[in-house]
Amino acid sequence: MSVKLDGFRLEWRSDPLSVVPPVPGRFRFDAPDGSYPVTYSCSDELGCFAEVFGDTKLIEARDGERHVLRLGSRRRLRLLELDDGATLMRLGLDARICVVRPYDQPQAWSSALHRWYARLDGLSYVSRREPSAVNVCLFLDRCADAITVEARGLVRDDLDRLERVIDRYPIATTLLF
Amino acid sequence: MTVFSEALELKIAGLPSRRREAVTAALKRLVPAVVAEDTETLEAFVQLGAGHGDVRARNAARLELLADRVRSQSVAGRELRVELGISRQRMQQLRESGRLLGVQPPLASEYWYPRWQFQGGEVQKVLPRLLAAARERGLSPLGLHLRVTDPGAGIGGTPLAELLEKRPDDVVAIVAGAGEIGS
Repeated sequence: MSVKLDGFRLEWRSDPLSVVPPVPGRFRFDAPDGSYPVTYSCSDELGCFAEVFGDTKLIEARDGERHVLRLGSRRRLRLLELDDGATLMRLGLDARICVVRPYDQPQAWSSALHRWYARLDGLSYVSRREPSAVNVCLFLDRCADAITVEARGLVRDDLDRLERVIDRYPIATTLLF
Repeated sequence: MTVFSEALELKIAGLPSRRREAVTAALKRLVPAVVAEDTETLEAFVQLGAGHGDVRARNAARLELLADRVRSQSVAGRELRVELGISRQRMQQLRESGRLLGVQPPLASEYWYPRWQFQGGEVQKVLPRLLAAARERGLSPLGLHLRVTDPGAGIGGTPLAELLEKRPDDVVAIVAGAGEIGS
């Protein structure tokens, strides 16, 4: 699939593209050996909050310092659709690859797909906490120069956005006090 | 007021039993808090508007419930000090050196100590690694506690807190990769 990126992420730093790949890989589709940097986005701005805070169901004061970023792309990106049944079936996978934990298998698949398809810019997959949204893992060694970043303030700056998060999900925050 | 009470009672009576009990228990906690609040604060709250105020009221109720959950899953600092026979300063040292997990419930300042970190009177062996992974990830002690006790944040519906002995490496790896899109 070739698409223009339009996604969101929450980030402690203002620059989401200068990623030093952790060794061993830390997140779902990270390179297991740290051989290439990746970053992630979610197609839904509020869905981002579900993804990041869905496990604790709490947004604390310290989380208010995170940056809300919108990621776009200057060119169409070539993404392998792990949110598509036919693609999963061809690879002998099912949707568990998008939600399974720990991440040994997703990371092994990320590494294999990165190696097999030299022009692949990343993977799209189903969000674990907001299945109506699509997440993207970007292979930054191949597409960082094509990614645009729009700053949308800190989490604590936009109380209206926080209220919409609280309204949609069973999440609480100490930032509304 | 009578009409209001009757309408409320009717609404509650129509709920399924488990939900009715939960709503009744929540109201028993909330009503005294509202009555005790000063008039200006209540007026400001009402002026926030129906939708707006509703969201903030739900948020406040959720924080209360989270705080209750933390306390019910933990030992109070006072009790643990007596049990371990150590001073408040020693407890602080253990917390700060990453050898004991003390959490502060939302909007509270007192420390509580989650029971899951203890096994047979000792701190679980994996705890220092787990605390280090959480700290590196920017997770607060409270965030770590909520994460390891939530079945949905565990493995196959089992909370991470129940896997500390059997799968310590997996638990540490999941906490190290927590709080990211797709984690």
